[in-house]
Amino acid sequence: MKARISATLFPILAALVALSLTLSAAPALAAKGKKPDKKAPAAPAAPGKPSDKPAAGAPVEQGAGANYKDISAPQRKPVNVSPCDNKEAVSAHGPYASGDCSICHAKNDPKDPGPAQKPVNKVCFSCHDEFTDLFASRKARHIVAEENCTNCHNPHNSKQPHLLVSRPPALCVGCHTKIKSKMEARVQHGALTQGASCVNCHNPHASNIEKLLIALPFDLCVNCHSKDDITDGDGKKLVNFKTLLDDNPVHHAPVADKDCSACHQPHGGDNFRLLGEVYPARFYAPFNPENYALCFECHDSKMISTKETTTATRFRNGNRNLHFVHVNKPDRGRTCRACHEVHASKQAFQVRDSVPFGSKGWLLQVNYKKNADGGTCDKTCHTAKTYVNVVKTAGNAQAAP
Amino acid sequence: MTVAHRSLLMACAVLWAGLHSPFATAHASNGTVIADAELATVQGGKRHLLGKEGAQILFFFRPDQDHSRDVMKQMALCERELSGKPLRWTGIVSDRFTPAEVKTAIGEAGVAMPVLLDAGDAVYGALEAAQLPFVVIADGAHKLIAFVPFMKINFCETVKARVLFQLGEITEKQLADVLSPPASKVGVDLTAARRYFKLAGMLFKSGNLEKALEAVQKSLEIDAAQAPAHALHGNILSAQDKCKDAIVAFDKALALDAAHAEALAGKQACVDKLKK
Repeated sequence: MKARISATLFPILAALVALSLTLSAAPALAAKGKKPDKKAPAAPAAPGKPSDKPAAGAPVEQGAGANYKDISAPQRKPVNVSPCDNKEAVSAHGPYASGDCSICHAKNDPKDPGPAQKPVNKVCFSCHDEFTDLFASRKARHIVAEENCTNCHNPHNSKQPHLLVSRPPALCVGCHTKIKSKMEARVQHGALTQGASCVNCHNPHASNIEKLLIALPFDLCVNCHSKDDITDGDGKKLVNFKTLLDDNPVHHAPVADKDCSACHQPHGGDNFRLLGEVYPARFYAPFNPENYALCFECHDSKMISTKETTTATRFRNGNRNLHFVHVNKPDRGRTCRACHEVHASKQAFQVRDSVPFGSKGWLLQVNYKKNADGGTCDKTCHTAKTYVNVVKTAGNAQAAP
Repeated sequence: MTVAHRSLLMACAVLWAGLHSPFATAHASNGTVIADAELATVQGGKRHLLGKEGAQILFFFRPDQDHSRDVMKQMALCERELSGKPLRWTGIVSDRFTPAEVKTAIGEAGVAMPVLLDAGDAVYGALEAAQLPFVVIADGAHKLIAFVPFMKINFCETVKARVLFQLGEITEKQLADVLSPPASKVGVDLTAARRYFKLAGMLFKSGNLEKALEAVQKSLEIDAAQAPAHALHGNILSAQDKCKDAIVAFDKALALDAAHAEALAGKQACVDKLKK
């Protein structure tokens, strides 16, 4: 199944990316659709691997991504930054297009421009000085961009927009090979296959958020998942999160903390709804911790496996663990979803409003009420039952019923 | 009303809110006073859960859990980055884990703080927590200030910001910027005008006056309210021995920024040149 997002949802993100990828902006972008100057230099030298020495070198293997197998490697192979045939170029760098080699190179001779005047990024930042501030001010920086702009951009021209040596995701997964394998998993995410792909969510230069995210995961996700017309790969409608969260004020902690990635794999995966681990799909299931791998990533399995406790859960009557009572059964154990909403609810502890009953889809209300030291489920799967956390002891007047 | 009365009322209010809020969280509320206890440490000996001064950082984790292992590495980083501040770091782990396995886990992550063995998960239970890992920040009076649950993104940043805010080293606005950071747009918003201006500057430096002039004119066509671009325009014209036109350009720059040094100097040079 391929979970995908309607293509109509991406223009805003795509426009944002198009507007803001400024390494190739203005004069460079202006070249899109127009033929660069025919007098433009034929093949200036590649900037070469990161070095403080002025860049020089022969053209090398085409394609940045292919050369970055180990992204933690201190040095990477240089990429081919030779210009492509002007007729094929969709973007061209202003100085290259106008034949002004000496803006970046030692000489103004297109046939022999010599090495770059300075280390690559110093040359780039002579004009693109905003990146000096950007790299200095943001906490998360893309090492590849800090190292050499030419790791991803061709300073002459390119068959790709923004002078990119290849288009994301191919450009990115050339180094980020684990992401590539996730993208090939059974359940795919439209965010990677549509619009600006990786750049829908990541800033390839620098960001204030880990993983170079443009915004916190939730803020990125709701850019698309706050619409009514998003469907998965099977055409099944996906929830509008803005509406869901507005209508249901009790939010699961990862939702409240804007951390969708605590449970979901944004790049793709083998589980339903891009879940990071296994989660029971049905109302009843025999209890087996492996079936609850997703929930037990954060919640201690002792919450379910311990028959008596005063610490593992607050859903207990005295020390009788009611999670154990409901879930820990060899055949018809209630799964997490039987009683809890996973994202948000109206009732405390993400307790569902209702549960499906019978084959005709009738919804049985779960009238949960949180009490001073416990709670009550009233007129629901069973008759009204109240639980009290306080443990009955000899000197304790208040006892669990 | 005395401070003690006020504190009592506040404690009651916090308790009431915790008990009756329909939005009850799965952990103790801010303001809850955490009970101190002396517990065994995995490093050997005993230690109090809480100290008397500064900010108390309690890090709850499990050595057998992926999320905990990820967070342990981040906490090690946090410890280093916040070293020297009046902080009391304490790790807490269930006593169902052996000291040896806990020591291995914290050693691999580089965590330096003492780690207490939570007998029967009593501390964890008292905090009414329902998940691991998490960090609790408390003040010198042992009052819970912040509960930071596991987050895959920006966990250490969040802990650091909460701590620094508690220490009065960052403002509420700075804390808010960490908890809900502003979007980092791809690249930056630079207008085409600025880009042409930059290109013109580079062309001027390389001595290509004709193209420099073309580029700066394009820049000014897009945005005429750039004093530096007018000044550059003036310098290019001056270099082309067109001082009368250059003075017009310098005047435009000075109209936008009367103290623009480059325009002032350029204009003066042109005036002097014309006098000769």
